[in-house]
Amino acid sequence: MMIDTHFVSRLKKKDKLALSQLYDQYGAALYGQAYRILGSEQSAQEAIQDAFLKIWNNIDSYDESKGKFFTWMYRIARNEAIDKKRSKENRITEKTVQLDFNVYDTEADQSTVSNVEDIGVKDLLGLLDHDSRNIMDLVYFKGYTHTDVAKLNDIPLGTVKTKVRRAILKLRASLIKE
Amino acid sequence: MNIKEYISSGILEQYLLGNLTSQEEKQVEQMMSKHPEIRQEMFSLSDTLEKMAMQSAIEPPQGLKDSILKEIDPKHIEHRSVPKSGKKGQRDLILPALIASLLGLCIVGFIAYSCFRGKTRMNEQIESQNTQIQTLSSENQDLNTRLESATQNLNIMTGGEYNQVIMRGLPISPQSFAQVFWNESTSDVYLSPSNLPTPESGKQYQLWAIVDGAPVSMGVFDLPETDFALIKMNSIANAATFAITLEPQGGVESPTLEAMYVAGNVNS
Repeated sequence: MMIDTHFVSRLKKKDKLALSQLYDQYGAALYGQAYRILGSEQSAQEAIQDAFLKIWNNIDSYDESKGKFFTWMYRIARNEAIDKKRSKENRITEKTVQLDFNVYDTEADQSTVSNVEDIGVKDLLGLLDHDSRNIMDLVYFKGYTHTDVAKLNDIPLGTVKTKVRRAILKLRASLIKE
Repeated sequence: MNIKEYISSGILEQYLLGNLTSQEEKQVEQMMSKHPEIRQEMFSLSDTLEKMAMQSAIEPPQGLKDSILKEIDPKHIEHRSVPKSGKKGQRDLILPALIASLLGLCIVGFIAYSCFRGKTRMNEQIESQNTQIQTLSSENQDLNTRLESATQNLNIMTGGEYNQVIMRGLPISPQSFAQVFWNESTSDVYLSPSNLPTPESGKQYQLWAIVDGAPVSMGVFDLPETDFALIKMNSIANAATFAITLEPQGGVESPTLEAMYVAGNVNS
């Protein structure tokens, strides 16, 4: 699952086919992130479109020494989605936050996320205990900041940080096994 | 804070998930460049996040890709009919690649065919031109020969070395006319049968020289096809008169006087 480094050099040369192939390979992974954070097809499309344009336009600012190319893309896509979500929330009010909180348990979100896709999420998060699962759902899939989660659950920020870390380590171990 | 504590604090996960301010991000990047262990952990966490993202991927709606590609290239053409699939990218490329290679093949074929046809046509042209050159060159050779002989004849006629003997028509053919060019020092004799009637078949003209009152045969001849032609006759050192008679084919030993067409005396 390593990104071929040739993607980067081709993108730097403004090779349009490279962007098209990048989309084919990672579009669904990034869209999955954006869609779960935003909960709307329309907004997720906008976020991913903006993300890919940023990848295209800012490719020269990608620094290999600072991390993997996927991480760079992934953070761009997540930031686009989170920014969009914040500006939407500012317009609508914060009341939906409380509802969003229990989406994983209540199946409330099943109408917008198809069953097939949810199996992937459940498989992943099913490995975790209830608390970690909720926190990971919020942080990883819904795009909440650690601080948001600490406030919502009324627990210290340090606890959220360690729980997220432990959850990721656990997922890492199970993903390596596969 | 030591490195282990730093890693287990969970700040790297925050960094990867995009939960830090840009100032905090810079601090993390500084730590990463200073400590290989932190860098190592960051890359390892990245791998996990990448795998998680791949596993929780959602196929985006059709049209999103085209709309992105259109943004970076307004000339981009949509491919809506292509079905969704994990190998979409590869399948997207198969048809254009196929069309492109077929097109390439057609072009190469056309060029090869054109070259072949061009070559054939050129070969035909070269062949016909070669024939033309051959014809012209043989014509040229012919003309050269004729020019040479004409020049030679002109030299004989006008050079001054030859004595011109004019033979006028006798009663049986008053219109007839012929000339002999005789070089007295070399004994060479040339005949110009300028105007003699075409002989009936089985007959040939014969030239005579009268030497000391006796006729000497200078040979038989056929009328030349071209005007102003000179016919080389037998050589003779002495002659007072030249005359032409019409004799049976191949000539005779003594002339038939009744069949004498022209005669002329040598000017002394």
